[in-house]
Amino acid sequence: MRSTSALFAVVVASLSSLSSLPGHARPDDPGSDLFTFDVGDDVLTYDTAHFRVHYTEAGAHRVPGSDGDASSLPPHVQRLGEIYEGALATYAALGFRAPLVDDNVIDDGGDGRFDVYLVDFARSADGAYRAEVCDGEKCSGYMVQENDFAGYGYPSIDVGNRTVASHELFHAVQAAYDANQGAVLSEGTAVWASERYDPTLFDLEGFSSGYLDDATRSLDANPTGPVDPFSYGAGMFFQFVDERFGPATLLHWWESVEDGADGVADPDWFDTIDGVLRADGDASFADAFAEFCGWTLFTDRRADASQGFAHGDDFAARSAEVLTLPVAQDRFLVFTSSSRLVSARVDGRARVALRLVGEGTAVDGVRAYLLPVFADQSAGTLTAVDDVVAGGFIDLTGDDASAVSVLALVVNTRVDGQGARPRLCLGDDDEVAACAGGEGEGEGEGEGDVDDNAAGGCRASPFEPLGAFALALLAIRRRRGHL
Amino acid sequence: MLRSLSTASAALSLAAFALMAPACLVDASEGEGEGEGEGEGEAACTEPTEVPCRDDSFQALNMNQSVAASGAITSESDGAGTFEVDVDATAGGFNGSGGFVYGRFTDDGLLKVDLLDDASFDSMDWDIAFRRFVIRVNSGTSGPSCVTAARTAPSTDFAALADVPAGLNFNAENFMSDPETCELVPDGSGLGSPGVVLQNWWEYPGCVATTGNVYVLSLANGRHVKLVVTQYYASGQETCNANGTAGSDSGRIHLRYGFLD
Repeated sequence: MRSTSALFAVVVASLSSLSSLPGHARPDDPGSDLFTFDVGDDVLTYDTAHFRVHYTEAGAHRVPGSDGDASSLPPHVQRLGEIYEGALATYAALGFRAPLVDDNVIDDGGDGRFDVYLVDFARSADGAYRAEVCDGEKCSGYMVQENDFAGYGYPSIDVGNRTVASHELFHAVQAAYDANQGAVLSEGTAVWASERYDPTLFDLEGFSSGYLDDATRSLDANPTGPVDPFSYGAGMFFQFVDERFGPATLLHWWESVEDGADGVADPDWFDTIDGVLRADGDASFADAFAEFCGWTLFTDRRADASQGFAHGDDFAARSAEVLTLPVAQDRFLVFTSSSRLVSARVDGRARVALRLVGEGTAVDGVRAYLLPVFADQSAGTLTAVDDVVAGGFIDLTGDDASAVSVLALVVNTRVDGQGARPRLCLGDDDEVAACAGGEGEGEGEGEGDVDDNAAGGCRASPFEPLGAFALALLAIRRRRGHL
Repeated sequence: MLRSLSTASAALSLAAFALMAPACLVDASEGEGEGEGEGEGEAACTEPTEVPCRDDSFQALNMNQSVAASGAITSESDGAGTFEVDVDATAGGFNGSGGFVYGRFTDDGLLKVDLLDDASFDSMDWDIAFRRFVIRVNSGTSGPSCVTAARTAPSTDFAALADVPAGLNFNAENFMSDPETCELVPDGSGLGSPGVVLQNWWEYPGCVATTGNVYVLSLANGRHVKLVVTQYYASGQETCNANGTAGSDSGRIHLRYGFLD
């Protein structure tokens, strides 16, 4: 055993000496779960102030730099300890609780430190937080993490460690409030948190298309699979909340979902957001969500920090439906807490107007915006249509005279009930007037193209030729998740 | 072999409802479509039922908001009451954004019904819908009609099945939880796909293998259809079934059906 300022100890632990409760077996109990050490592995441990890293220096689960000498600490393990301590310090500085300690568990990994087990996931995943023992919805648990990232897509082992450790540790932080708030809040804020720990990581940017390709889904939509890119990509919304209202709002949000908060037995994150935003930012969810949807237009080549994210150029482009003016589309479905984006070439029009026809739930809580887009994919100024029923417009004159297309953003800011289904009218004044006065014939409907850059070019699945199911599983396994 | 008219170009024209999206072809009043209503059964339902959890179902099933599916349906009759049906349920491929392909059982084959996915929740004009490996029927959480399905006993011989077996348990679609929570009830595959009543037409030994399960569907008009899905891959289905190796050109459904009354 030796110690440094990081207070570490190397302990050789035989597998047989570790006790465990049925149903609470840890990864050092071979065969107890999907990802465990192998029978015969000598599992070593390394302690920092708050973490205990379990690793082995031989066999399939050996960590990089292993020399087989249990008395020397592989730099990989030492570095991982630093990463976990750094991430924990980051979250603590933001005001978040530390993960609950596991000293109430018989197999607690040896002490009350948070346990991290390094095993080979064989490219089927890269790590997982396991909630283990819960008091109500607050849980303690442990972490299983890929041992060496060999064959993974991370640019380096260190990036892999920083990404996975910071992400999964935040799940442990979440479990100190409520471990059952659903995928969007848990995965979205975990993706956000990683880059609070290390802004050079690229996880949020990498997952941004998960939201921007699917922003027509309700923000609180349930996952459509075991690992849903939308849930991870929804980190964009939490990044917006951070940039717009400050990180404390995200802390307050997590505090608001704790059982019993504000007298609610089991709050749901989507029910508490409005109150949190009003308290912190004097803004309703409706206002904030509409603003966020506006920000999603200013990514990739349309990045504009004055109208969107500070680093919007690092995010994917938002997908849009390509239609032809004039547009007169009935039952233009916009789900609650979602938005739809239409791109249409202006074809010489000096003005493009938008109007929604309908009443009640067809238009209640629905907002709309227009944005001129130029040939180089840069954009002008986002203009709100103040009254979607009366309609609004943008003049394509002056600086906007060279616009080649227009983006029409329709946002449903409601959080409950069915989606809005107004008639969408888009075109010049006469065209919109005719649409609004007509029966809605669906003119202008395009081919259903979805355009990442909102000016042409359809997206296509890169997976089709290879067998959907196998690739579905591959995609699932390559992402993190709760086991 | 007779080739019936059930391609997209001969899509059954159906009654549209007010403000239906443009992709919905219109016309003919309900029950008067070609091949419609020729059976002897008493209608199980004639009025639509409001579909619970509609928007949640839509999103959980990754439906398409703006464009009706372009996939074709073609049917061939053997002249003895059985139809061999091909459905292009590719939906744009894996992770594609295409919608469901809607069909209606008739004595002239499975006719395509051009519908937006959103409109399917209001329409009684379709019986069955296909998107990739998900096949849903028009009832319960899936649509406003009352099409139900029951799986027959294992090893049921499709060709020999001439009547509705006694004791079948017909089920309406119920792949969403109660209206309070409206969460997807998965099929247990681990893929997050919905627990539709026809979910056991396939299994997954590493590819979409057909089980050969024979179903009986009870239609809104009171008639019954026997149905078996025999293919998901345009080629290589046999290999998939035998050793779990995926075939090529997935989402190419082939099924066989015939009326039992």
